[in-house]
Amino acid sequence: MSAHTHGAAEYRHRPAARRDIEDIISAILRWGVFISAAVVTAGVVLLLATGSTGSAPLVFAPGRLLPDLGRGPTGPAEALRGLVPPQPYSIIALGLMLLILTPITRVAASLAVFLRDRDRAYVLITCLVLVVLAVSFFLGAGAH
Amino acid sequence: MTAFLFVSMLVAVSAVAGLIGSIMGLGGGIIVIPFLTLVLGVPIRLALGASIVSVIATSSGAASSYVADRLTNLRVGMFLELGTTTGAVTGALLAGLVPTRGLYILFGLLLAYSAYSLFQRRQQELPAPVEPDRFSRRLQLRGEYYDQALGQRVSYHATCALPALATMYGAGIASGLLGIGSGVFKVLAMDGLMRLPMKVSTATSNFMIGVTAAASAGGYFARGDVNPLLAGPVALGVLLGARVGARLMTRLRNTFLRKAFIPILLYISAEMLLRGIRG
Repeated sequence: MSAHTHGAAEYRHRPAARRDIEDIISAILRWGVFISAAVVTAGVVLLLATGSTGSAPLVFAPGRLLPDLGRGPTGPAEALRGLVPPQPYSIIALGLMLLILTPITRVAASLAVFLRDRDRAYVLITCLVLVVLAVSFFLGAGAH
Repeated sequence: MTAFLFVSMLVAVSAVAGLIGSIMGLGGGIIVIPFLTLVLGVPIRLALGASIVSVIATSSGAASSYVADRLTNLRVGMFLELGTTTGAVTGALLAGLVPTRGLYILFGLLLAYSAYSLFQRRQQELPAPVEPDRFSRRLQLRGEYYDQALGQRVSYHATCALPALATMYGAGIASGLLGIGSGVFKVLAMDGLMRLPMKVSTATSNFMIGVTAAASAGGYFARGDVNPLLAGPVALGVLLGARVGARLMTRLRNTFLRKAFIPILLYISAEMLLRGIRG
């Protein structure tokens, strides 16, 4: 069979025992997106159904495009507290936090694969990236 | 305005941002931010919070396809990520210490020149074979993918690894300091310096922007800048658009992508020059 009859699909569906780093990362991204999108959707649907953010009613003043936006949880602990009883803003925030975790999980998974493959240069590069990301995370969290 | 209409409008506009962003390797901020601030009158702080979510959604939404199709070069991505992340930290530390006006003009001019250089290479479908440098060879910055538009397998090898890394550091500083997305610089460095196929450049940029954005997203959350009513529907719309964009992009030609990139560059360049001149 010539290369012309092969599609991109040829790269997919390989035996699980010999999974490439690409397939592992692709699966992490797909599941991360699926789960976070489902949680955000649940929150948005609840918001529309109840007409409330959880702490205040959602009011659209006549003639104005923007409602009172209120404020959402500022961290995972606050978002989790808003789950019982379920508050729309907390559910949406939780979904968004899962979305943010997705690329970070992906970097961590790449590190695991590079370690497995004993690829020393890329283990080093990935570790450096993770350290810088952690520094940047704490700088950002500490600012303002 | 009803709540349902408001949410649907946000989802629809964000879907367009996700579609364009995923194809071009950008975060979609150039659509989301003006829409929120200029059309809806959202405070810039909350618009930036929604935009950072949009970047992560564009990246993660399209990357699963691009990675599975081998369009994303994971090694190139991880290697360049070193430059952008350290640059972004440097930029964040320098913020407030360095006058940004001159920087806006400098980067505005740089992007205008890049648009010109892209225009010169607008007919080039695939880069000519290059002589890889020592670093590109040592770090195995090469790859292969099946091009659906050309109906052939494309192998490539990167060159100029260190200049590209240095450029990424500069781009990271610019994005940390000026609060602009660095996707445009990533694409330019991979296409212009490393001589990767345009598709590989935008797919790899798409892959990288999510990581950088995720690192700063914690700060946006902590400051209360991620508003669920704005960021939630934006995330859903962008994810949807990015999914469609990722399917579409594999069928486009590299020359089309490059040509489509030029007006975007000119727009960002003009915006930066204006900001620099107005002060």
